[in-house]
Amino acid sequence: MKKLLSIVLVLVMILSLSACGNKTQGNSSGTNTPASTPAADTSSATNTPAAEEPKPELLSGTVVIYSTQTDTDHEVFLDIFHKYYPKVEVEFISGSLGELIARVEAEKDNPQADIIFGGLSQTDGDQYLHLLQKYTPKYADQCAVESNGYYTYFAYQYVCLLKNTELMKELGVDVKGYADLLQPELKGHIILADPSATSSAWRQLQTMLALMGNEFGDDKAWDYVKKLMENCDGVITTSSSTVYKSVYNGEYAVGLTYDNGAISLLMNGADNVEIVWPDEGNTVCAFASAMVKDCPHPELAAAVLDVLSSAEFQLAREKAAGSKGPNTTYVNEESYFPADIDKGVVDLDYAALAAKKSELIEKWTDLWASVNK
Amino acid sequence: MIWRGVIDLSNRRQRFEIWSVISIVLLLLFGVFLVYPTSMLLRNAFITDKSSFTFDNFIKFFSKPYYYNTIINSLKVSLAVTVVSLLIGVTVSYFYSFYRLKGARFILVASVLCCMSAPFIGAYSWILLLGRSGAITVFLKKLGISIGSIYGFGGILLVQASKLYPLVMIYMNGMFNNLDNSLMEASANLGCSGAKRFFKVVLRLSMPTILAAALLVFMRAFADFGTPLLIGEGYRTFTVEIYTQFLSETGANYGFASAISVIAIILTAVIFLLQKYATSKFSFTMNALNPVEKKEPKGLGGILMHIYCYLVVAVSLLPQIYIIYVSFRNSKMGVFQKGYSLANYKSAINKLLLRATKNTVVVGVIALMAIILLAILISYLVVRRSNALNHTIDTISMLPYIMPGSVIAIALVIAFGRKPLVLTGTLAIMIIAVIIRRLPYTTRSATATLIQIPLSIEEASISLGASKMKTFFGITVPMMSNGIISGAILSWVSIVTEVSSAVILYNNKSITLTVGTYAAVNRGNFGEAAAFASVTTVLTAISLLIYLKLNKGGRIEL
Repeated sequence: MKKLLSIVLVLVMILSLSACGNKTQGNSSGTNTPASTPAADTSSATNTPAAEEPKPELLSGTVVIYSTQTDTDHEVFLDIFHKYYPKVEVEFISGSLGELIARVEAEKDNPQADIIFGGLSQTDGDQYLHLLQKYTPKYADQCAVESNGYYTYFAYQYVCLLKNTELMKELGVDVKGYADLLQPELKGHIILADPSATSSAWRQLQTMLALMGNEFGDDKAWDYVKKLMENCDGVITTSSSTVYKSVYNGEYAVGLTYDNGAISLLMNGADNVEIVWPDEGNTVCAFASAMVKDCPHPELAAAVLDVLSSAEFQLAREKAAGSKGPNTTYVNEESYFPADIDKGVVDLDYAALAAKKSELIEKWTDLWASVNK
Repeated sequence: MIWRGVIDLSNRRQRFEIWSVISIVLLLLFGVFLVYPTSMLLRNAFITDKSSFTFDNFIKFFSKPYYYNTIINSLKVSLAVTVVSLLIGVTVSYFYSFYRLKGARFILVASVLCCMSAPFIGAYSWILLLGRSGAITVFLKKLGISIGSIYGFGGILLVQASKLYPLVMIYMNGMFNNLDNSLMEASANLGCSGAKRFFKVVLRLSMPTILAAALLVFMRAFADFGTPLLIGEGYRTFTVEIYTQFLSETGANYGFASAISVIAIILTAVIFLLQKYATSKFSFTMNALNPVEKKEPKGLGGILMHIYCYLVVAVSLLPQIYIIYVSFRNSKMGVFQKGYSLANYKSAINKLLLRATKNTVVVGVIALMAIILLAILISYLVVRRSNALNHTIDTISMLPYIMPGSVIAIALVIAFGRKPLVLTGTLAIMIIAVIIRRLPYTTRSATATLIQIPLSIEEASISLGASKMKTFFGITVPMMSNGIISGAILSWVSIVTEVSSAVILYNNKSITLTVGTYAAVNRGNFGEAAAFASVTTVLTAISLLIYLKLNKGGRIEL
């Protein structure tokens, strides 16, 4: 009997833990925010919050941001955000886009997040819209990219190659563009990422298909991709940061990466690597943040998106992290990008890409498997 | 030789008794917290966008070598890791338990520490050391020695074996401690000693424990995705595939991912049942009235013994030490700057290092107590009340082992994200996830230990008038304590390193140390990540030392 009692006590303990958990959940919503309790009140906030001027002095509480971005991005954001909304606390939860989306999806009935920061892109189509809230940010009219009503674009992504200058010297070759990657001396010294695992690799695939053929994704382009795969000699990674890190570490001579990652190395003092903006041209894709559907603090979330859409934030970010933003009203004098970068840019049909994404990635996967039999 | 089969009591007791109640309670607990959430997630396996009940996802998996090769690759590497870990673990444990080695305690603590780093940090550290431009690779190149690539099969084998041999070692330590010395003496008297005795007597007596350890190592290697993710480089494994399909940035396919998970669960169940069958062939009992006395190692053999053990420990501990070194180097977003300082620790404290430490300890202690209690109960049900229901409970408790933690976490969030039971965002849900994932260690070692305890002792106690519960907690459990504790240490270690479920479940109030490491890596701040990882190492070292100190009365070893 006594032992049965102790088992029952253990169960009671577990249940009481969950009760305390609920109380802390309630408290974490902050002291003054209007929509503080989950479930009950948020249903009233399903109407699009008006894009009116939120009075900064009145806004307080904690906004929860699920973020794929780096520390640099967070610091830049907080600097500017706290200038306008000094009483609002910001809580970041970091992860890859896949993990964050899985969390938001699983938390659908009791949303914990207010914002998804980064990771969402022009080529998503409408695959995530069911998780998001419509919102037009304050500076939407200054944005060069037309929004779908849910996304707040805050960054452009160009792709690039990154080469390790010492290793290049050892190998005795140089790389100026995609075609140079097929040189036999580079076999086994190239690293790229898996498009089915990371969006930056998907971007690289889009770019190669756009630049290396006569038309997007024709046989000539895929033939190039196949030859590149053969020169990669089985080397591939699932993480986009591994690509540029391992070029910096001297593991590989050249990597297929993206602007932000490569530039951040240079900004932080790496002196053995150089960015290669491919001779053949480039493609651009904009990345976005968005408000989570029925989020617990919609007014705070609106404030976050307003700041992200602003020229002030995007300029500061470009100065700190290197990548450009789609707000047309600012100019960065000391950019890491060559002045004529946009000349070689080939347009992408984003809607078509969204529709054919899984087909293209599967074709890539099958090709990789057959090359590496 | 004292041999005795496990007595099947199910025929003798048909009436409703305290143990039947416990069976039912356990079944209910598992039903609510494990079966319900995961089945809700896994029924997606049969759904595609074309139809609502189909086997298409399974057919897709088996029709392309790209996919089904992942199972073969995982099996190959896990088998290799198991064999190597057993070899190293059993031999080191033998030297540790039968001889008085100098610095024995250091060897033990260091070995357990090796189990303990978050997988991605350990693999990354190995790459920094042995990768194409690793510190050691470059050094050896100067001497004219070139080592092969650390990537792919070889790399996974090295990293996993060096992390998992301590599992074997700890289990075997518990086992060797229970060895009846009179058996060893009897065998020596009959002319069989030294290596021959080791193979003929010691190994055969240790079989249940070896099999339990082998199963755990195999499953751990099979289920590990952090290591192949970083160091596999093209060698595609099964769990990485599941993880990618569930959480891919470029188009997660829940149906397909669930189908692969179902396949994984079936595989796990099969392997587990095979192991249970194998273990049942080795049932016998011993009493630990005569523990083995340690001998003084002599001569060349003694020196070789010491060198071997220290070498193993040094190689395995290298990545952790390197991470501690890295944590003191100035770095900005992955690029090392000049100089050393505490900058990384300062920034880690800003990112909730202290709160993470507190949470790690709280989650760890509560989860551990729950796990020990559940494991003891389950092992008793399986060994002494062997019937279909109890074997089902046993198998269910083992299943989460193969499922990636992220999948279990998603299932829990979906199940407990809404009324009536809202647990998301609390410490409670993280504790539940950890209990579900880490129960198997202690269950297996408790079962392996209980099999060897003779029934006669319990029967004596009952016939002297003690109640069943009193006998259990007063007599049986203390006799099992060696086995339980060795399993508990492993559970503790794995609880502290839990990351894949925690990243889905945490928020900044319930953040733990490994999640802090992971988040820092995600944000590109490797110096900070190294700081978090180093604190984790120190925390576990301290907890191990506390444990050893408390256990001083009697024996230093486990």
